[in-house]
Amino acid sequence: MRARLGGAVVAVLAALAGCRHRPEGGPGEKPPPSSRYAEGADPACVADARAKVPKDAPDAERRFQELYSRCLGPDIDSAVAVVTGRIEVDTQRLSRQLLEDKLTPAQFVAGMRDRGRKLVRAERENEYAHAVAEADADNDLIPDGQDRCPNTPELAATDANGCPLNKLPEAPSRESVQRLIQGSRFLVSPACQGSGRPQTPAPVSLGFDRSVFRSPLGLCFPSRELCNDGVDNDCNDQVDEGCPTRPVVEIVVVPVQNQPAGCLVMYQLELLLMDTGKCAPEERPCATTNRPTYRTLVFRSFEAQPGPTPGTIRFVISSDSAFNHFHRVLRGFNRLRWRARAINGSGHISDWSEPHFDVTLNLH
Amino acid sequence: MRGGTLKRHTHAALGLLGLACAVSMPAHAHNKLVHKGMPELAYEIIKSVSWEHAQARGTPIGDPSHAPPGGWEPLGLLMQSDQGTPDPAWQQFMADTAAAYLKLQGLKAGLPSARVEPCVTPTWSLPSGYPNERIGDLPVAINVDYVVGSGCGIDLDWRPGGIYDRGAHPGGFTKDDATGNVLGFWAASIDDEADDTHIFVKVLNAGFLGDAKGSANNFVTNALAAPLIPIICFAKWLFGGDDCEKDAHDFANAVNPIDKIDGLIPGFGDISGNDYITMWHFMNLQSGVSNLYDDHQGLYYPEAGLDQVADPVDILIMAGLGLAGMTLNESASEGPHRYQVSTDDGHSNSVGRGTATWQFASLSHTPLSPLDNLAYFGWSRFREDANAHWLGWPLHALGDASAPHHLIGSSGWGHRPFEDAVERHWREIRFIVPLAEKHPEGDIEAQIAQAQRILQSAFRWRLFILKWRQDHPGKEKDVPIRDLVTELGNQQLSAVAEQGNWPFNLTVSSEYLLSSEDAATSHYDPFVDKMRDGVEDGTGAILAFLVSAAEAH
Repeated sequence: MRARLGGAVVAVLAALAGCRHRPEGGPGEKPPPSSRYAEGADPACVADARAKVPKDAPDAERRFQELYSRCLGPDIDSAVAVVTGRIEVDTQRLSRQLLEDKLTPAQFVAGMRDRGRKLVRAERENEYAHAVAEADADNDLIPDGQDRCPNTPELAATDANGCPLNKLPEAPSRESVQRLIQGSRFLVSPACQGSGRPQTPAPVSLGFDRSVFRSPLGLCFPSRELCNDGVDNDCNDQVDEGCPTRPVVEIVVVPVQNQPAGCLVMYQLELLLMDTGKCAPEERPCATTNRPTYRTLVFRSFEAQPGPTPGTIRFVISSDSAFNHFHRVLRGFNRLRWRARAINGSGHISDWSEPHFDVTLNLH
Repeated sequence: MRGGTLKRHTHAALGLLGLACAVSMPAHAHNKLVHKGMPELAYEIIKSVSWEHAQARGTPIGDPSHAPPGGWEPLGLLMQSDQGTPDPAWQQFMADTAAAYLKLQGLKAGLPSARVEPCVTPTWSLPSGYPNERIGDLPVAINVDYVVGSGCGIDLDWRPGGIYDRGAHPGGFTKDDATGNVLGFWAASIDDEADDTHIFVKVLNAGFLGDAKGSANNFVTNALAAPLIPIICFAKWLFGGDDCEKDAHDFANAVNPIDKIDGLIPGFGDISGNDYITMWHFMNLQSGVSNLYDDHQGLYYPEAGLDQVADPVDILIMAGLGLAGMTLNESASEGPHRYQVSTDDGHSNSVGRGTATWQFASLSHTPLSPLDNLAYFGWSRFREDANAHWLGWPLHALGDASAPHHLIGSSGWGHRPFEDAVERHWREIRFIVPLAEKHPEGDIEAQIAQAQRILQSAFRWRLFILKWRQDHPGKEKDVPIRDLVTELGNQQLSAVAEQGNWPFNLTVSSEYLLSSEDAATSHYDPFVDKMRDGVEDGTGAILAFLVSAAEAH
């Protein structure tokens, strides 16, 4: 029988706390940086932008990016957001066309420099940004009123008058860049072609599976390099004889089931680690607590094992190094909340699941 | 080094990408050897000068523990300056250098307690108040993985090396002076500042992988490994990793993925790790670049490369960043907050950027703050707190300012092969001939001559600092670190230009990635003497900086 989650987590992590670890503090030890949003933008704003732009709408990506840019910081001027959003779309298109060998390196570099210049101009010249946002028929980011070449080809770099550059910058040969692109095998999973958006995987449990124990549970779970070194690594008041064993971390989810056979599905688990302090309730908020921190785990579908209940799958973290890393992540936190989503080999991403477990840890 | 393109074991690199910094695998960056070695060498020269200075005057240095051991012989470093003799300025420089010896030993080491306590080694246990321990009182030397590694991180065998072992305890470190060791450690540790860079992937309506598949299917033969390859290799293009494609396939077959692919997949939340740290370790000193936010911009891929000609590697990185929408997370990253500088040191200040400005564009279009600003961050903290940790930033920056590719803002043009070559030849650079049974100290006479050259260089940099102090009343204890880093970079870049720009090669970075790392690195084998020139001048600047920094408190 496997003992899972909840009590197991508490017991194991409490045991782990019995070991001494490097204390935090001093200039060499800093708390994690604050993060307004784990993914750089206000998620509510992004969701709103998504809702406003149907995926199959003409020019959906451009319209979405114009709205999305407004989510990237406070008090963003709408016209600046429009221009920067368009530049992001152009950047993606330039990049894609280079990789597809539809642009020469010189054209690509010219285009990237051009968009870079116009990006800064939009940030610094509000009047320019508004003029572009109001009227730029050929999408070269020169306002129609100033555009002497109103039919600039898509993605072409222009001069200040909106006319394509006569001279492209010096750049490496097309062959040298394509050789590198092909040699590095840029992307992706063919089996996922034509796939739709993955379903959202549902979290079931995250905890420790102790069924693999072969000897009484130690406290430190040291790496195997420390076995038989004449030291009590597992803190059981006895010099170690052989390597102590330890549990594996087990994550159980309801899998994605709407993807083509052979299509790689990756499961992302986002862990929100919290520290409510170890002081008595009447003393809270405690003087020293770690700030909430996001951590990410990714597993792939082919690494899944059958789950403990029908309709579930199970991922495990069992190697010494991985387990120790996982333990190190949790150290300093005493509460854990997590959620899951999926991405397939074509880059389609599911929605996040609802935040699930709110596990009480005991690692102080 | 050569922070930017440190060669890393791929597992380390990928681990560092995963689960953010907290679960990173140790990064055994070879170039840490160089970053650590330059301050170590500078300090040992300072120490020798101090002993010789005291001996020449018959004045003991501090308490007896600071005196040279029995049998120590002067190296003859109190020579005259190359400006002629007598030279009061040179003699003052010798006196100032001698005085720095004890001051540097008196700095707080700033070291966190050991990760493992007690160490496996029974001879060492944790002293109380370790972070505030004076460097000179440290009971042990440490290795470059002291903070990020999983072991004790101490190095009982550490010795200064070469001719400087004459002042060290016979047989290795038992209770010797670890000051140079710790200064070198902090210099190298800046490549572990994982929180400098956190990246998010902009939401794309369709998903970038899906968008890109049309271009890629022709190249895919292994469906499982394929999605990982670009991302893994992408990290390598940026700053490191071994045998990219092979490891990507290995990961596809890995039983336990957690320490290998966590956080690698764009679109999956926060991306961080050592491979992205060094994006802040550039300073494009060439004319004709935009310098949009600083007098000399940092890394800005649209203008990367010698004379702004991008290497194919730069182009591919730029396309990858642009396609994936990989964007700096301003609020999660320390870099924007640390390395935008506004102060009164006489150097041009940064044009401030807010959250949106940092995040409007992907990193393909984001000019990062330059190397001299990185130096200033640590220096500004050190002025308030005599803690050696803070010296890590300026020391690291002076090391990177001695690495030519950091000065043209390029990940190509031979960047990694060059820096791998410096590491490969480091002992030859440092000890002139490789240490061997027949040459346990290397070439002694050549090392002494090297120390003299470094002192001559340091003298020039010291005059540079003193001139600035003279021109800035009230800053007699300050160091113009941004000017110093910039000028060192300018001189290094000019020096290689006069030598035909030998470090810059437009084909070897691709060769390194696609065929043979060894062959690409071997391209630089004939240039060891030239590499040594750059290292020595950089070490001279570091020595002058340390002497001047010692006066700050």
